[in-house]
Formats: sequence, C-alpha cells, structure tokens
Amino acid sequence: MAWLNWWLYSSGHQPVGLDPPLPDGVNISKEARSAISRAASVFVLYATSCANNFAMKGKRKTLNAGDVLSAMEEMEFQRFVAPLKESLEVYRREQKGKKEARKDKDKKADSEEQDKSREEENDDDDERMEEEEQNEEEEVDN
Amino acid sequence: MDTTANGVAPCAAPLRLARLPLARVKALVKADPDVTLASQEAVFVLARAAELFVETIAKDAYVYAQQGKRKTLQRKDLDNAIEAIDEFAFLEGTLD
Repeated sequence: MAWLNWWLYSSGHQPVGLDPPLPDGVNISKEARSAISRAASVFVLYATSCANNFAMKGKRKTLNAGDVLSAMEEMEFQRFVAPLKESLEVYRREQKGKKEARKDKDKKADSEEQDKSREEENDDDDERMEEEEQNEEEEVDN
Repeated sequence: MDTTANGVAPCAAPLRLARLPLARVKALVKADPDVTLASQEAVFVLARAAELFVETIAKDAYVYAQQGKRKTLQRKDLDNAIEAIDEFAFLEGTLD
C-alpha cells in the first residue's frame, strides 16, 4: 500500500483529468487507506470482467484498451473516458519512442559488425523485425 | 503546455503515468478465470482508471469528513460515500 500513501499525499504531479482530490492538511486514517486500497482492487476486478465481456462480444480473445474504455462507460464512469484516452495517447507515444530507440540500437550494432556478409545481415533484420512486432503486445497470459 | 478540457495542466514530467503498480494490476487481471489474454495497453488503461477511481472516491468521501468537521478521512466516510453514490454500488459488501 506504500504506493497509495505516496500518491494520496503527493501534491506535485497531478494526474491528467481531475482536480486535486484532497486539500492540504488532510489526513487519512489507516482503516480508510486500507479500505480505499481494497476498493481499488475491487474496481480493477469489476472493470476487467466488464471489459472482457466486450472482448468476447467482439469475438476476440485478447482484452484491449478499447474494451476497458467501453467498460468504464458501462460502469457509469464516463467521465474517466476522456482523461484515459489522453493518457493512452501519451503512453503510446512513449512506447513508440522506446521501440525506435531499440531499432536504432540494433542498427548501430549491425553496422559495427562489418565482416558479416550482406545477405546474412538482411535475413537477421527481417527476423528481428518480426520478433519486435510480436512483442508489441506483451500479453497477460492465463 | 495545453490544458485539458478540465483546465488542469498535464504533468510536465515525462511520465511514469500510472503510479499504481502495473504488476499488481496484472495480477488482478490474471485472477479472472474468464480472461484469456490482455494487451499491455489494456493493463495500462486499467491501472490509470484505478487511479482516477481512487481520486474520485477519496474526494467524495471527504465531503462526509467535512460535514463531521474533521480533517481526517475515516472509514465511515467511505461507507457513507458508497451508500450514497450510485456508481459505488458495486463496492457494497466488498470492503469488510
């Protein structure tokens, strides 16, 4: 629960979307903190189940971000949808940046091994790209 | 930086966006026997949604603390919020 304490008391970086939840000088009892933490877990479990229904409706086996957004509407948390979409955009840009960095790193490594034959290098590149595309979705596997 | 529709400036820092541990959210998703796979993005959005949820419920519960002229949020404030607010109905009976 350390994350919860830290987050509820921090006043620096505010999450995108909603006003600061609690003003300065407010305390939270141990019992209240514990209850909030449990409520958050219940929320995730409920949202997951809801989102999974949308995935199944779409005949998909993988739960995606869109399913979670649909779940929010279903659960009557529509006001979360806009800030969540924004956060998702930032997240996607971050992930893309990481991927570019990995590709650049690979390219650099390749150009340093100059005694490899050209053909061999091209084959390796193709393989690596396929691998990267597969790794784009790190999936939670049950 | 642009402000959001709510007039709240986004975090300037690059960004550990979801401060709720992703590992914990992943564990919760895995706990659902009906879920086969979940994308990394889905887990991220769930974590982020949980953060927004925590903000919301803390804020709503605090109203009751204020009514009781208290500066300490207590368990009963949460119970009151859960009872009073429709969106929190799913929590009834789950926190004990």
